[in-house]
Amino acid sequence: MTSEKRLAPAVDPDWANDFLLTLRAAGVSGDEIGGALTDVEAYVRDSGESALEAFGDPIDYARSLGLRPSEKQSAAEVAKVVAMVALQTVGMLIILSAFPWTNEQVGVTAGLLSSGFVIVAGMILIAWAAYVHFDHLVHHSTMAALLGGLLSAVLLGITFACARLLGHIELVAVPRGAIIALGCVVMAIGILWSGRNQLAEEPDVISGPLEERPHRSAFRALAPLAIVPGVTAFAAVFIQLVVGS
Amino acid sequence: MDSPAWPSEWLKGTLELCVLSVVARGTTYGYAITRDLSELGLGTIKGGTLYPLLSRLDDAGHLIVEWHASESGPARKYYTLSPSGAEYLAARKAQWDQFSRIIHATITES
Repeated sequence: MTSEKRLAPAVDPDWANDFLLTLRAAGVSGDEIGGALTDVEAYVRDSGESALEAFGDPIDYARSLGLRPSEKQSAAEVAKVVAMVALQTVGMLIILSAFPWTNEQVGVTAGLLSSGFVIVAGMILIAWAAYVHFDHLVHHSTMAALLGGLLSAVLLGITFACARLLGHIELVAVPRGAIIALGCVVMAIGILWSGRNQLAEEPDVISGPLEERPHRSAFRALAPLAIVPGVTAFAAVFIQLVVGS
Repeated sequence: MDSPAWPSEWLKGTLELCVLSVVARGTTYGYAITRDLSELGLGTIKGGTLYPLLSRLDDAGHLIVEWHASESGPARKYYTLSPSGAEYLAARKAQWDQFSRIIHATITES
């Protein structure tokens, strides 16, 4: 059941959804959002009015409450999460650059380095732009999806262009085993950092004022960390079988 | 009580004082405040006007806010005037007395 249906069954779901999205986009904590929505629920039940009649436009009302962003949604926290994901992605790209395994040495080319740089820089730029314009993006989801698709396509185009134009410039030949080891170390740093962070912090879920917070098991907190290594292993096998044969 | 539709700028300038005065009568909650204000003749104050004001008064430390469970519905937020709120209200009332006397004198002498 969604937060708005659980906390505010008497409130029009579309109104509640716009209200929650606006507060989420403003970085307000789940506890405060839950409290504000429970206020609306109590008021519409008492007054018999609809949320729109009593509170007006949900976006304007959410902004008028002046609720402050939580520390978990601060720029520093978002930058930390982006850094964790970026480390894991860089580790994955380094490992995959060693495949297909055709001989003992892999030529590190200017194309490989520049495309890796473009992917990571692009990821960071997109994440930052999404953070800064989050409020606008959540209320214009179609435009956000189109923009995201366009930016990803441009990023992929630049990456392929770099790989194609600079792929013949070999800078150094490195043993494949060393490349894979380096990639594993970088990925492991990202995963350990992320895992420590996941265990230390409770998820910022939207909860009602007197509701008991759902407990998250260590397994549930850490399970998503298997995604990048899993995708890397699958991609390495795929490249080896399809490209290497 | 039926009340005329007061000019919105009058309500805007005096609503904080009226809300604090209602809360000063005893611990209360959102809808009860709008109902009391309406019964006092101030007209209908919408939740969308009241709650942002309560939020600002809470941030300023003028209110003590507590959630209480309800048997028949959602938890409800109750407001009590804090000591700093009581001081603030007393100061604003004194200012209002002075201000309203001046306004009264001004408009009755014209």
